Amino acid sequence: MESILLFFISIFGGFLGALLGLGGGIIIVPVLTLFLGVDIRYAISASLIAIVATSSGAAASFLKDRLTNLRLAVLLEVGTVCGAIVGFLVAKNINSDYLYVLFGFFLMFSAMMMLKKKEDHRATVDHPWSEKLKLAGKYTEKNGELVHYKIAKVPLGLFLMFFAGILSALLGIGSGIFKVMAMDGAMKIPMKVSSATSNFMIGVTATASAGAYFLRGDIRPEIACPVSVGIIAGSWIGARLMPKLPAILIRKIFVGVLSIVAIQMLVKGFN
Amino acid sequence: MDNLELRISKFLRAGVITAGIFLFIGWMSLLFANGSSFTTFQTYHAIPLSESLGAALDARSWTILIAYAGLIILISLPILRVMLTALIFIKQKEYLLAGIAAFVLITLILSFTLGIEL
Repeated sequence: MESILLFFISIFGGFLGALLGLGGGIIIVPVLTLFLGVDIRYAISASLIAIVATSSGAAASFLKDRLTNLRLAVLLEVGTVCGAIVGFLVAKNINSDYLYVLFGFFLMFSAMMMLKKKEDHRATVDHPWSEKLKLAGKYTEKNGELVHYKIAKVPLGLFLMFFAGILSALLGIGSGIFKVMAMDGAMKIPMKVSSATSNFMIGVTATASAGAYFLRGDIRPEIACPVSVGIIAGSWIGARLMPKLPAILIRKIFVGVLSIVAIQMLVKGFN
Repeated sequence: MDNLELRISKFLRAGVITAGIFLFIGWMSLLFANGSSFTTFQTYHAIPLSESLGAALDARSWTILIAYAGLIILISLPILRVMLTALIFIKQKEYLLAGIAAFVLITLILSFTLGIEL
């Protein structure tokens, strides 16, 4: 029964993920560990492969909307991929109880971030690295206004991406929240460009550790197949139904659920 | 938009669909062969991929091989994406960015080797 149940939960996870702009990891890892009793190491690697699936699909459509900054994405991937290597090595040598605790804190932090109001920051001066690589860009708002943006604090952004990469490999998440924080908070990039570029980068970040977990044999087809197929189908449905659903209400309910799951993860880790 | 970017988009989408079909077929056959229980995954056992693949090849169990093929396609998509990005930059004569993309590509491939226990 578990495999079929997991398939339907993954459809729901992909659906919710597309609706709320989250990767599947935040849903898949708790479901596999708390609900289906799977060891967290299998859960993390199955989640990573599902993230690779959704983000490759998403990257396809994001490239078309002209919000994704391809030049910036390539530079910042240096940080996330190096971070993922460190994260994989830490995960390999850490007691899995710590992974539950860390995941619990990550869920709490995500719930808090989801409640935070989003406001756009604008950089007034272009950082020298950004000038050199011509990273600054432009996009068109829905009302037709053409927005030119500059990019601040590139080295700090790269450094923060390194940490996003560590957390991705360690917890089996896309760590989109941290990527957006680095781009929007530190580099002062408009929110829309930050989230599009983050979504585009997630697949490469997740692949860095997913490949290593795969060769180590942690990605078991019995778990990874229903999760990936479910998530691909669910996010496809979610993206299509998105305009018709009350996203704000769903977001509030999800924050509540996230807080409860966070506590359960912490309890499991500390026991 | 750059023609190559559009081609990357189409390529990624086709790749995800192909992988999805492989994974679905693999999953269905695994379901019929082994059932749907996850009890074996409650505790972690390290079995390297080379061992599982070798066993599947010896037993000619196509179901598991199809599932693994789906996983391999999925994992190679972002790698190919980085490769194509490097090509875009070379075409635009942006050699510094092409170099950065090449660095990401090499680091990605190096990171995979960490999963091989010696």
